[in-house]
Amino acid sequence: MSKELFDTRIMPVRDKMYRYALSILKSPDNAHDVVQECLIKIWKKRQMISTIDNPESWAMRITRNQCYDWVKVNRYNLLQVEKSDQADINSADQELLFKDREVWLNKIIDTLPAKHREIFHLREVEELAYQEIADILSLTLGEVKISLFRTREKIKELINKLDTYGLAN
Amino acid sequence: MDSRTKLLLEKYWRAETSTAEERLLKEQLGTVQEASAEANYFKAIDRRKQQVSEISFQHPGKRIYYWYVTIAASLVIGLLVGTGLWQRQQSSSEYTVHDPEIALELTRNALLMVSSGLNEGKDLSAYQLNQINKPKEIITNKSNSNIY
Repeated sequence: MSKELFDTRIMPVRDKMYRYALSILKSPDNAHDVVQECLIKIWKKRQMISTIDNPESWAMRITRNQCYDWVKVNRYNLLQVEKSDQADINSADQELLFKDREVWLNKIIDTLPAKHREIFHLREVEELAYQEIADILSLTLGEVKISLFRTREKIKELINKLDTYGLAN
Repeated sequence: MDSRTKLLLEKYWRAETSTAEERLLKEQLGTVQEASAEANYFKAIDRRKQQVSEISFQHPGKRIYYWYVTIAASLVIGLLVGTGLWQRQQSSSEYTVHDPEIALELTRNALLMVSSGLNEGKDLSAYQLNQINKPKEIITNKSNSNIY
């Protein structure tokens, strides 16, 4: 029974878990390893699945915790990534150096502050409801909505800049 | 872009859209052949949705099963090797003599056996050499009789 639940409720979410881990860690190999560890963890706790309201959100929350555990252990590596990202957002803000709009937009998404990026990812890419996002991140509904509003506002502003300067045309 | 999509887009930037409305908007703008920054933004999101790991994930249940199989196979191999070594040790200990006198006697017998074998070989060699010399003698005798 619990094996069946694992196969029907958790295994289909593995790609979502991977994308979420990738949005946090930014390394495909590390994201893969983290998700594989999460699957093993959930498998060991599979008896619990039947008692959980939303196994998908639960799996995503475990993924998030596992990612931040990984960050703690490999703090130096992640700081290196964050530093290089900071340089990217500055250059994007200054004069929109990237010719390719998609690359530029990807950089904008990648360089959002960690929590905003997570909320953005869960809403825009995984299409989760505000409440689910709030549950995964242990935030209030209001915090999620405000964060998403600010992120979209920032992206809209950058898009307007791009359209005004017309760099990609 | 039609007016309905424009309105939906405005609502989207204000973060007032529902999940269903956002899905509709992404479907419309994510597939449109438009080069606007907004369209590219939705296309970029759509590409992100398609990201999957290049290495497939192992089912943890099967992973644990493989571990059991590996452990069982290792145990069987260890058992076979252990039994083999034990048997070898047993058989070699049957031929081990601990008393020096008996060992000396056995060695002497063995050497005598080898020595008698060598003597037989010596006799045989002498006989064979004799056989080789026989034709030479015949030829020598014949040539002598021809001269006389």
